[in-house]
Amino acid sequence: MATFRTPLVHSVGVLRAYERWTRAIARGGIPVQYGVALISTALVTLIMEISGLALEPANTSLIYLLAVLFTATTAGLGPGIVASVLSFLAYNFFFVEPLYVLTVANPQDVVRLISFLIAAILASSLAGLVHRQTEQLGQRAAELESLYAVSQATSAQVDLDRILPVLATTAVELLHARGCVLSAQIGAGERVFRAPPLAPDVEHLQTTITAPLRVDDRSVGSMRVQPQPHQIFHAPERRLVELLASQAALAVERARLVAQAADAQALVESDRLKSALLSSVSHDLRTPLVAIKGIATALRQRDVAWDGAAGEQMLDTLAEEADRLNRLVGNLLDMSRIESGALHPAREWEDLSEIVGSVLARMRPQLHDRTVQTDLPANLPLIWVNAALIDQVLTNLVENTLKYTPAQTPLTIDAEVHGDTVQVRVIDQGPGIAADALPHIFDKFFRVVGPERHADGTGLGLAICQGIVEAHGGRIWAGNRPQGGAVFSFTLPLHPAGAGRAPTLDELDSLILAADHNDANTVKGQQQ
Amino acid sequence: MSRVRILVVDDEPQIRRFLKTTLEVHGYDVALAEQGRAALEQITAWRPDVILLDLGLPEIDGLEVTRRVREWSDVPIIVLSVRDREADKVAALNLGADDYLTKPFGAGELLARIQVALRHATHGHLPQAPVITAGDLRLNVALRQVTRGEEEIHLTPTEYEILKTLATHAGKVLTHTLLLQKVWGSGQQQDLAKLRVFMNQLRRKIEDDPAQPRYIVTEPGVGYRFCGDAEGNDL
Repeated sequence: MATFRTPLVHSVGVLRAYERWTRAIARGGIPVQYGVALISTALVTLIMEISGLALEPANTSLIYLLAVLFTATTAGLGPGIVASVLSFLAYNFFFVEPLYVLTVANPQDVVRLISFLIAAILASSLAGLVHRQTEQLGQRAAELESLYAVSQATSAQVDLDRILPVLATTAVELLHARGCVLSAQIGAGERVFRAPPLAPDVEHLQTTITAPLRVDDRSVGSMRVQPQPHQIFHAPERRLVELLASQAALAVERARLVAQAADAQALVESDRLKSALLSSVSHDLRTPLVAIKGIATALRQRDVAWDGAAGEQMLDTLAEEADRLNRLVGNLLDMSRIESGALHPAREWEDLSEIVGSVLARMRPQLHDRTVQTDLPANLPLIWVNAALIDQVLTNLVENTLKYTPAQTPLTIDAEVHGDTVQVRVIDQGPGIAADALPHIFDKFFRVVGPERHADGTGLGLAICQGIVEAHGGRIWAGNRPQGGAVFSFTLPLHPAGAGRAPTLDELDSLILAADHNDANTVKGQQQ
Repeated sequence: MSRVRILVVDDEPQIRRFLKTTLEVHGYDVALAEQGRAALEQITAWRPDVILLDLGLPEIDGLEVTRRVREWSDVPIIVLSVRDREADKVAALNLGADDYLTKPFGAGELLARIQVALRHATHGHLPQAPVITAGDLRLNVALRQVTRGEEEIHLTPTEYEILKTLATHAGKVLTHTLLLQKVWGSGQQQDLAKLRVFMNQLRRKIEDDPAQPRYIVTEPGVGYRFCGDAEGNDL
């Protein structure tokens, strides 16, 4: 109500001034409204007394009537009636013989005065009615404007946490109510929004308006508005609450539909992934099988003597393809464990250089004549990890390098402590990673098809690395070196949660020194 | 001399067939069992020299078979496991299994493991000779002396104990728990950090490149294995 602009009377400038005047009086409250009655009557009396306009009796009643009409239209019915009575008295006192007493000598004057009073009261009633209707229209317009603003604000949003509080606040503001509680079923649960935010629960008083939030005959919540102590709500207020409740219901329904659409999208996405997996897997599993089946049946042919180099080569391929099949199956298993969130690695304090060593020892046949340089600081602290999984990360990274760099390209594995993480890098001097591939390199089923050879593997190796590193609370990324070659880096936290107290190297060193100054048997005693 | 007897326990017929063929070609006497109860009966009746035991058996599983056999027999047990069952493998080794093979494995690897197991079964857990060699590395158990080439390596008592324990079990994997028990007499997991640090120091003294060790290799998540000369390079 504080700021409303009614569009009803704005065509004429005078009327606009009149409107402003009306609003000013309304803002002033009861003292100002009745003040207007008093002042307008007094002013008119003064003007007529000084100017002598009252010499003609018909003028007098008309001019007083003006004051009454002005009061009634600007200040309302009550002040209008007061102005009528005051005018009647002043008329009698100042302008009817005998002057300056409230008695009337001439019966003609009695008729005139009485008919003036009746006319004034009638006129002020009519004007007051108009005044009230104008006021109501203004209020209605303000409500409409608020509702419009609210519906605009809410239709652009799907976030119920923002929409519903706005609706509750609007209800309180429009109705000047004490509080509003809006409860809505969102997903499986029910959420309650309050305005003002800390308002206590709305008591179930008779005067409380409760409007259900309905969507197609389903109730998805309710809106309850509680009045101020002496406030009584009527039909218009009830309609307003119902209107706001229907807005809230629409918002809840819209949010549900949006969530449903997102779920559907996710399903489509997961279906797409599954079919990508199937096509990728069936192709990748079949390729080694083709080789194995082919070689096995070829070796069986009795009319061919498979010996010498050709036979050896066939047998090598047989073993290699079986290994490849094994790796693929392992990758698929790892990926499904990562995907299903079943990766809860059992961790122990491990020595990173040991893990690197065992990876390189196992991969020596694949590494052929590549030079592998390891650059691990001697004082590298122990890390709290699952050795088999970190082994898997390094294996996949080295395999990836073998796949995408020409034979004999040197390879470096180094590690360094950065703050409270250890950073491990696998660095090659190959062609590097294409800029457009970099952002996708850890995505599932993403494969860079190199110029040299068709990329084999499922496109899962790096995704598995990412899954494992993240399960350890670390981070993995790829980049290119300015001097050429790709760098894969990953970090592992040195003091992860749940690791207990990390033994420091110095501590262990001093333990070793102390222990080894004594006989090993003595050490046994100290440990217990 | 009678032929060495090997009992193959696996529930997959293809794997039993592959193992039987391969082992018989190499002159072993082979018996088959497809589940735990039959295996236990065969072990008592037939008295195999080596058992190849799959861990994932129906009913009585491989771990239980290992536990029951170890109550009365030291017959070498080599467990066959798959990659995603690390914990079972370690449990079997801690229960007294001698070694493990991860499926799929090659025939060379299988035969080498069987030979290591047979040698340890014959000689018990004492070194076969007072001197154990691996490449340049010589460990004289009688003199408690370690040399590499002409140079003597000075080890602390604990480092020496670790090296000796692994070397006397050359070719066999020793789990962290077993190694901790043998060296410190405690098998506490929290001592693992200590073992890692000692191992790191020991490797710095005996290996050319501690990051790519030759003599003491790491079996990730399981333990350590000493690669002596006797094992050859077919592992």
